[in-house]
Parts: sequence; structure tokens; C-alpha cells
Amino acid sequence: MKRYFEVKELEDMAKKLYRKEREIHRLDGWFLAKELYENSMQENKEDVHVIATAKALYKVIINIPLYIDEDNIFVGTQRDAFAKSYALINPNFKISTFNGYCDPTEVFNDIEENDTFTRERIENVREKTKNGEYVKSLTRIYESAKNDTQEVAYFIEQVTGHLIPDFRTVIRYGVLYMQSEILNRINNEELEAKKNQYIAMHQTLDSVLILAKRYCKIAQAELEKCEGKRKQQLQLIVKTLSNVPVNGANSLYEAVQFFILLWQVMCMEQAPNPFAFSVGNADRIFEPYRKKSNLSREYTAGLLKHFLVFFNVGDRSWAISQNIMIGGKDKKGNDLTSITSFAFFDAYYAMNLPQPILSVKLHKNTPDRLYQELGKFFFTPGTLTPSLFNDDSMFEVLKRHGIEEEDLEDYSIAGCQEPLIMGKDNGNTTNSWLNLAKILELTLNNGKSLLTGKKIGASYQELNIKDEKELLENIREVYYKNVEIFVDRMVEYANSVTQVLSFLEIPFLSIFMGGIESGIDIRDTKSQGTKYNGSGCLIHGVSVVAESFIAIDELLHVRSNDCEYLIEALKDNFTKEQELHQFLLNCEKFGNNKDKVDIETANVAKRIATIIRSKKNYLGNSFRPDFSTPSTHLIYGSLVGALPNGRKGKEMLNYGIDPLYGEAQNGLGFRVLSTHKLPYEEFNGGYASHLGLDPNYFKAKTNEEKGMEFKNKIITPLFYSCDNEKIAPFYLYVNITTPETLRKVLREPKKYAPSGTYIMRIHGTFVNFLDLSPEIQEDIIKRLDLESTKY
Amino acid sequence: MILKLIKKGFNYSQDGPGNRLVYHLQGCNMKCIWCANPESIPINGILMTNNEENFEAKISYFEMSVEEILEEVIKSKMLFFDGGGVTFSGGEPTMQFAELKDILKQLKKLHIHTTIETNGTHERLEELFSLIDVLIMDFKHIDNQLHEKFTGISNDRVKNNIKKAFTKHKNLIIRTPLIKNINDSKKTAMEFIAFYKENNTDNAQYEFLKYHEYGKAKWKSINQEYKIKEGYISDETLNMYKELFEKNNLKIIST
Repeated sequence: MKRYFEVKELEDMAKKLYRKEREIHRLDGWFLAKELYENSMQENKEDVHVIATAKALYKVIINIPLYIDEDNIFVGTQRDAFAKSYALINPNFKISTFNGYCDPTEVFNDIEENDTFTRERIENVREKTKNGEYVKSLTRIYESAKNDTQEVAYFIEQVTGHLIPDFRTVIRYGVLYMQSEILNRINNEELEAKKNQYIAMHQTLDSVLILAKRYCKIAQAELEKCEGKRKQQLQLIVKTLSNVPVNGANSLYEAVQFFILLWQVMCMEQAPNPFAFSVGNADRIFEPYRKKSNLSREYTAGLLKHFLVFFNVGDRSWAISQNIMIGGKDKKGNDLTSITSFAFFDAYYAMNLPQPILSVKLHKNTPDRLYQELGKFFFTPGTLTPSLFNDDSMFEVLKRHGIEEEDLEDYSIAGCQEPLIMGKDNGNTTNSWLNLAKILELTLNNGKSLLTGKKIGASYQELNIKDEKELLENIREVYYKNVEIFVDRMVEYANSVTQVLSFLEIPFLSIFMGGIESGIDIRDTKSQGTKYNGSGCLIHGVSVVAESFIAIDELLHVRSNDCEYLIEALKDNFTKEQELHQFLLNCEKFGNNKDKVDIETANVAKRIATIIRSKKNYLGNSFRPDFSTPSTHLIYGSLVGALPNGRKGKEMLNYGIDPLYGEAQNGLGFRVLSTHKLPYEEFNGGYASHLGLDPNYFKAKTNEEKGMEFKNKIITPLFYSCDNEKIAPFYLYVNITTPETLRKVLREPKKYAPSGTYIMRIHGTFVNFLDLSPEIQEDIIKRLDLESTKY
Repeated sequence: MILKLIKKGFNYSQDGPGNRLVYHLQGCNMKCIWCANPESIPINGILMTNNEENFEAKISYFEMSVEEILEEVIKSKMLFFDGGGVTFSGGEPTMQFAELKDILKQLKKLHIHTTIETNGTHERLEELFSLIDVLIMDFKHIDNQLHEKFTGISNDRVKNNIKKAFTKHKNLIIRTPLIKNINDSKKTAMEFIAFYKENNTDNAQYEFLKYHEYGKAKWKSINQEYKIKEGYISDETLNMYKELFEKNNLKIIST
């Protein structure tokens, strides 16, 4: 390999590629793909739908314009699967523009018309999409749910992306091997539907082969034009593409190239915008090939730098939440850190890109060296930081919810923090979003919105409540009853949108999700194509609701005569009742190791998790409670009126399972103790939690020593110090900085972020802080909440 | 019994071994000009303001009863990993001597590891020795006149208590903050060493804390002037201290 690329050269080329990617301001590929897809579907409308779909993918792949950049060492791009705008990574995003509606044709507004992409051409494809059964059905469902979703008592969405394919077999044996496997199935299958699914799968694999051939041809043409080293490099590309993806990979270089081509086709199959596909346990996928190639850590890192650049799309690098996992343990408890794990760290650190997301799995026997190597990420300002998972705890949680022992080590993260078994689990993760705080507001205010007066939920009468006093005295019972009513509606609509999505089969991805064994498309809503299946529900506002219950109790207990003023005070956003407001603010808040409110928060979490899990999805499998709020704590908060815990109307909700900003004031240890009381065994859909930490909290000199200090001060208390009988927390992300530092970066980006990139963590992903909208930047600054983590 | 505290929180290995719950008590009989917690000095507390534009004053301490502290400690036990436990710091924890002694006694009964960080001036300090697993004593200046100049009181009792601790406490750490132009000279180092060498120092370890200004803003918040203009010492000074101590068989630690 070294005769083709020097280590230093690999990095230079990767950095140049990234710079060039950031200069791409137009993303038109997805539109071309959509146009080609619609035309192909029209041409083949007599075919069985799944076969027509496979043909359409092939048509897209054979026609989409391709090129090889002079700095590419691997060929392939996922650029053509993504449209340009995305709410959070868009400086123009405003929380107030959220309209509680999911319009599948809105993406067509993303493309700026020009001579090539004329208004007529854009509208033509939009119309075709709009008139398809898929969009028409979705529109009907959203229309029906509108009363609940406009102010987000809940929200629903059809989930694309958000899966973790298992490419290990195909990379090992090659596409021809997979096709022969599928052929066997076709020959032995009696059911027509499965036969057709297999035919479609077979055809989609041709798409990967043709993609490689097209790149090979381009490389051949290019090498005719150049001399010297680049010629040799292009020869290597040609040679590589003549082996993979047809046959299995023989080296790390071939394995990475193979992976990229598969990824490209997978994303194109779901264009536009298949959010949050994840690589899975990346070090374990590639380590066998590194070993086979006998490559050093340094050289491996060089190749992986290009692998990482591949995931960055366009001027804001945004193929959001594509996750790479490193480290962890196997089912026997052996640590799985390898040279490739550290090479990934090196590649990440040197490149410091906004994508793909790095996640690190930890466990009690994680070697100290891994913590030492993590130090440089946490303690270099503006550098990406991994989110952290606790395998010891996660294995136990997943096991309790039906994951078999042999599959535990293959859990991985799709999107932000949702655990799924690589290649075996369709978690339909972001299918539904539940706003506990809004439901509390509606329960308290006779079913009406405090912000708009609109009737959304059940009235007192409908809930069999006489008056406000009776309501407050029975608040928990009435509230949970009301939650059930909303959740039932949410589930019905969530299942409906998933059923609509099943119109759009994805035979290619299905191959890598157990489809060869099952012969069933992963989106099939009548038969289960993956070993595990569920639907996600993201739950918002746990602690603010629990605190509100405690505040109501206090009010009833201490000043029961003032009860009647509470609802009025909420309506009035505490403008007149300032003294009452102060009383409510002074009631116990979550995150200070106060038993009453901490246990209430745990109870709310448990009760809601139980309700969610009792609901069945389209296949009769349980919904999975996921206590994460990916910036939706802001959006949903802006649609919720004042609450009895003293939070004013339109303010943010608490983030994930964290205390509301400003309410935990006793420092890190006490916050951790509160956190320990939550029922993690219930959180099988995942959860979000963040600590903002002051860099001054860490006193050691070197980054390696600080990495160990981070282990001792943060990870050991949080992950490994719970009571034995309790399941410990299993997720965390951190930002180690101060509000002052971030404000300086915003004021003088040229000085503090000369590269134009300053990476911060925001929920499950990291982002270029400078690419964000001001409201999201402010949220990051505010939620550092250093008071809650001080010593 | 009620204690006045300025803050509490967890810290790892910097205020005794392992992960510890640290209680900072109100009140100190010294007035060190480099103090990082100046609000802790007056025994009855002081009003602190957050900033001038948005004037909001709050008293420097809060109260907890011995029982409340014990309950909190018991509930926090799972976080005392790596040999951790409870540390009382300050202010000067012995300013609330009776309360401190009571709580230490009860913690010992519960087999919880205890540490105090003291300036070593309390005349009855020795009574606490058996209740403390790790005794951390500050010794800020060997020269009595300078000690008095910078801390407000004589070092006689400090020396006396250190001598007692040398013979009667099994696990003693003596800490000296090193501050430019105050105690950073070779001569001062040698004088410290001479004092220690007069005694049996087998049970003692020595730690030097480099000058920092973490508490500087707090002086402003209590409306008082921070008097040190340039207190930072170099690594060379620190190493000079360490080398001299080691040469004289005095055990150096760094936490």
C-alpha cells in the first residue's frame, strides 16, 4: 500500500477532499434520483411493485452523474441521497416556524431553480410525488392527527434511515456469493411474494456491481490522462474495483472501498434524506482486514480519514447522525478494543469533522489506555467528543427486553442513542413523539391549550372531574388516564404512517437486515422481516411533569386555600401571581438528590414507559420508550404553557432525562445520585443525558492524565457506582467548556475557529457550532448549566 | 446541632483519597490574602453579590444539621469508590469544633472514611486525631512574622499541632501553598525542612499547591480587594521545593 500513498499524503488528501466538499453549495443529486425513480416506476408500472422498485434503483445508479476527485483514494459518495436544508444545521432555522406537520414534498423547496433545474421540472417531479399513493395517504393521516400534532401533544413520522445494516458477510464473500445465495432461495421458494422479494433483492445487488463498473471506467479514463503517482493510485482503484464488490475483500483498503459502495446504494435507495443510518461497531468490522493487511495503526488511520470524509455531505457536512461505534465487550465480557479502534481515534482527531458521529462503548474492564486516548477529544476546545455507552448496563437492559445473549454484543446505535442490534433489528425508532408536558397542561386546563385556547384534549367533564380542586387532589390518576387517551391516538396514527411507508419497499437494505433468511422486506407491515422489531416513542418532559406533581402536593399541603389560583396563575403565565410563582419555584426540583422529587421523576418515567410498552405496533410488537428529546425539548417547550413547577410558558422542557436547566444546583455528585434513582431497565428505546463540564474541574496536566481524571470523576460515579441491585445509567454525552468560551467563539469565529469548524455536541450528534441557528447555539450555551455539575 | 456550610460537593482524590463528599464549613481564624474561599472567613457569614448591574445579594452560608449531613452521607455511600469518604474543609472546619467532633464520631461508627483539611490552629485538634483517617494540615509559612503578616495570626499553634500529629496520627499530609515572593525561596524551603527534620516524620507526607486564582472573583463579590498582584510560581520553583524535600527523605505527594 505504501507505494501508493504516504501516511502524510493520505491526511493531506483527506483534508483537501473535505474542504472541497464544504464548497459544494448545491445538492441536486437527490432530485435527479427522484426524477429517475419516478420515470422508471412509470415505465414499469405493470411490474410487481417491489421489482419495479429494484429496477428504479438500478436506473438511478446507472444514470446518476459520477466523478472521481483527484484526491479520492476511495470512490463513492452519499451526496446524491441528501437535500440541502435541515432544521438544526441551518442558520435560518427558527423554532417558531415548526408547524407540527410532516410534508413529504416540502423537500422540493430545497432545490434552487436554475437553467438546468427549471421551476417546471421541479414542479413536475413534485406533482408526481404528490399524486403517488404514498404521499396522498400520508397527507390524509396528518390531516386527521392535526388537532393533536399542531401544538404537539404528540407527533408522528414515517421513519426512513435509522437502521444499522450488517455488511460483514457481503464484504467477506462478495456480491456474487450473496446473489447465488438469493438465487437458491428463489429456486426453492414457493410463495410468490417472497420469490418476488428475492428477485428484487438480486436485482438491487446488480446496482452495486454496476456502480463499481461505472467508477472503474471513470478511473480508467482518468489514468490515461495522468502520470506519476496519481496514475498508480488510479491503477490501484481500477484493480480494487475489479475485485470488490464482485468478490470478498482481501485487504483493509478493499474492505473500506466495498463498504462505501454498499453505503452509497443503500442511501440512494431511500433518497432523499435517509437520516441516521449507522455503520455499527466499526472497529470490529474492519479489524480483521487490518490484521490481514498487516497495517500499522498510523497507516490504518490514514485510510480511515478518507472513510470519515465520505460521510460529510455538502457545505454543512450534514448527513445527520450517522454513527460509528468503537470499543465495548463481547458476550463473555472480553474487551474488544483493537488497533483499529485507536486508528479510528487518530483519524477522528486529526480530521475533526462534523460527521460521522463517534460513539464509544465502555465497560468495567475497558483498558485505561482507552480513557487516556479519549482525553484529547474531551480537552481540546472545539474538538469532537464521543458519546459514551455503558455495555455492562446496556446488555442487561436489552436482555430484559428480549434480546438474545448471542446478539447483545452486536448492539449499536442508530441515530443519536437508540440501541439496535446490527443487521437484526428494525426499531422504527422515531415513529412517535410524546409531549408529557403538553398533556399535563391540557389536563389542568380543561382540555384547552393555555397558549391558544384551542380545545385539544378531554375536558374535566370528559375525564369525570367535578372541578379544579378535585383535579389537583387526584392529579396523577387523572393525568395518566389522559396520557392513555393521547397515546392510543398517537399509536394509531404512528402505525398508520408506517403502514403507508410499506408502499415503498427497500429490497437492497432488506438483504442486510435478515432479508435473505426471511424473504421479507424490512418495511413489510404484515410479516416480520427482521429478527427484532418495535416502534420508537420519544418521551418529552419527564422531570418537569414530576416536579409539577410535587409542587401541586406542596400547594395542597401547605396552602390548600390557594389551589384555586393555580390554574389562573398558569393561564396568566404567573404575571400577577408572583408570590405563588416563587412558592412553586421553591418546591423540590429533580437533580439535587432530594428523594421525594427524584422518586417521583422515576415513577413518572416508569409509569410512562409501561404505558408505551403496552402499546403494539403494526406487527404486534411493543413500542419502545425512548427518553430522548433531540432539540425538541426546545420546539415542544415553545408550544407548552406555564406548568405548576414554576416553568413559564414557552420555555424549554427538560432535556432527555436531565433536570431542567437551572434546577439542579448542588453540583455533579448530587446530580449523579439523583440520576441513579431512575429506572434504566425501562429505557430499552434509549435515553438522552448531557453534562456540561467546566474544564477547570480537571486539574491534570496532560490530556492522557485528564482522560483518566475524566474516568474517575465522571464515568466511574455515573456508570460503575450504582447500588448493585440497580441498573446503572448507560448513556452520556458531555461538552467540556464554558459559556464565556462559546460566546467568544461566536463573536470572533476567525480567531477561535480559524478552520471554520468548531465542533460541539448537541444531543446524539456533534455539529459544527458555527453552522447552527442562533436558537440552537443558545440552547447549547444555556444547557452547559455548569451550576449543576460544579464541585 | 447545626453546621454552617459555604458549599458541598464531590471531588476525586484532591481532598483525601478516592471519591469524596466534601463539606466546606463557614468561618476561619486566618485571613490569608490568597484565600480561594474568602466568603468562608467570617464565622457568621457575609453577604455576597453576583454582579454590579444585576444586584442580588445572598448570604454566604447555608445550614445543615448533623443528622441531615449523616443522612446525606449514607445515601451517597455508593459514590465513595477508590477508598473515598467524607472530607470537612473550609473555611476552617475546627471553627465549628463541637459539631465537627460529633459528626466525625458518628461517621466513624458507620465505618466511613474521614478526612479534615485544617489550618492546624485549634488548641483541641488532638482530640479529633482518632476520628480522622487522613489528616490534612496546612502549613503556610515557617517564618512566624511572615505567617502573621499574610494570614493574620502566629504559627506557634500550627507548629505545635504538627508536632503532635507527627507522633500521634498515622496518616498525615502537610500542605503548603507556594506563592511568589511569599514563601517560594530556597531559604524558606530549607527552614521548613529543618523544622520537619527535628521530628519523627515517618507518618507524614508533604504536598505543595501551586498558587492559583480560582477564588479571585469571590473577593470582588464580598466587596474586598484581592491583594496579590503576581503570585504564580514557576515549575522550577516547585521542583526546587520537591527536590530539596526528597533529598531530606521527606515524602512528597501530588494529588
